Amino acid sequence: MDINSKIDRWSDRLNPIVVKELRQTVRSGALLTALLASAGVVMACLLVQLAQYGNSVSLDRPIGRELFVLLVQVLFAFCLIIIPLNAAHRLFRERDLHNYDLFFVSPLSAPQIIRGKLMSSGYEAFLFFVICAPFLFLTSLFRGVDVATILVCLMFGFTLVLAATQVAIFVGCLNLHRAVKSVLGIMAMGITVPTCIAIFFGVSTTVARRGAMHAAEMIVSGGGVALMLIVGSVIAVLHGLSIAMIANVSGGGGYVNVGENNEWYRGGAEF
Amino acid sequence: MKVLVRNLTKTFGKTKAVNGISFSFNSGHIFGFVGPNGAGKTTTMRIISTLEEPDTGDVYLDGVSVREQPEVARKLVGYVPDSLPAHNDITVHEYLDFYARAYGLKGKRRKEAVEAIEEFTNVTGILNKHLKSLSKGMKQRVTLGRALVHDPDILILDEPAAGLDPRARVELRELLTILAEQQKAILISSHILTELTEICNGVVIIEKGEVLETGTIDEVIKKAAPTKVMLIRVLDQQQELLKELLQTPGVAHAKEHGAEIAVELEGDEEKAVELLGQLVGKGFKISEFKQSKTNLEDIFMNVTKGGVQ
Repeated sequence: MDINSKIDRWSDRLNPIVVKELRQTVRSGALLTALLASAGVVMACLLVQLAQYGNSVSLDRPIGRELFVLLVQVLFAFCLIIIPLNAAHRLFRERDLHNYDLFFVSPLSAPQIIRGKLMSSGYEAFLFFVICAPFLFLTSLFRGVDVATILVCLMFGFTLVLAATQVAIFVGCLNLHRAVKSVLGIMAMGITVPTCIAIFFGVSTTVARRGAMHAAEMIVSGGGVALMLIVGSVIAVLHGLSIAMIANVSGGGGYVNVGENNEWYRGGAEF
Repeated sequence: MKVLVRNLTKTFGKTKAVNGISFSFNSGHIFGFVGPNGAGKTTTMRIISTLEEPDTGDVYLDGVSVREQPEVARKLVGYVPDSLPAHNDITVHEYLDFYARAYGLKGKRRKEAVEAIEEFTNVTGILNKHLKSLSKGMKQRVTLGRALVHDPDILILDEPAAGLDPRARVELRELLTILAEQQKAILISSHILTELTEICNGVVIIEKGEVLETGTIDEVIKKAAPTKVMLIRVLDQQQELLKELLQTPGVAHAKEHGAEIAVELEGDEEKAVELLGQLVGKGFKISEFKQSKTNLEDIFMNVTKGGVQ
């Protein structure tokens, strides 16, 4: 069996929306540009910072930690702006009634559609993390940060990116007029993105300073668990609400809200 | 496969889009669905395709209710909407492959189904082209392919010939004929009634959400035009022939129609043969004697009033 057949068989297990969205994203070139830009900026930050250190850096200075905190925060800012916006933009472009009609005329269910949208954003975030990972793990060769700390920070950042994306998808699914939805979208992203950035900056700085072992203790002991529970709950609640927005529970279970009173698919998300 | 539409009603705000529509059609049939703009055709087709829920009434696809089991019904129906898809950044092959996946086709079966549809709809030369860059005719082919990718028993086509050039229309007609031969039940709406007459076995005429006529084309024509109209051309003595016809029993009406005389005749084919014999016997030099075909367009104009809601 050749590699293409293997990939094809593996893709059978994926949500069809994920396959379609990833193909569209790759083909559009926008994601590729953003990926290369993020890798370029992260690399540039690394080189500039190293050049600033020069030969005068003290041996005791944890430059690995300093570099890691800078790079991971640059990467996270990229992801947090580009991925939710991309998800919202796709919903906006698919606002045309017939595109959504065709989703619903197939046996794809409302949960499958929303899950597919979120999962495809997850895969995109994963691509960003993978392309920048070599630079991040390079910092573990310097003093002050270890591989476990890097992994913990990346996992937490990934969860926050998913939360912000789910907010964007939820706004895109609202049954409101396009203009109202646009304002709501701007407001929601205006609150979500800075909040996530603040949380991540705080967590990544703390984790990097105290080390992975301490971070693990922190996660298990309380503060981390509470934070993850809050973020997880936000994702779960908005995910459920997004499904409810497009699924008509009173219409025999399988009907989808595409009647004249439901404008979410016509308006899409506008940002 | 029998499609049974029973007493459908659907209201949007104050507008009653569909008002008690009932009709049925079977496998191997191409049923024309005609009516003025705003008559309720698209709403009815969307209800059959499970995209709208009716206020009352139901549609049964071989006994499967679209209200009670929409998920099952969706697998039986292929729907071609009146406007074409506008997905960005997706090729023809990827588009068809996506819908094959959405219908749950996996692995080799999916690959074979997509390839077969690409070949059937003759899009193999444009597989890597972006959907957005296609002409309307090509997009229509891809949309038809999308509707057929899961091999549905019922095909619902909403204005599929709108905006197509003559060649694309002929090709679409040929594809539909093949599909009917494959025992698919096809419901097609179109404003090009002459084309429908050529491919349809039956017709439903609706206006203001209500069915005005339904049945096979022959039944509807017979019902709408119970008398035969014969066109007679003579070499000379046209006026004499007209006088003769007006005095002939069984002739309801006769008038000059250019170089011919149009005769409205009561009765069947035998009556027409008898009349021809009589006229020849009386020495009229008849060069042409033919039946004027009543087409769907004539019936449509007769039964509808052109009102919209």
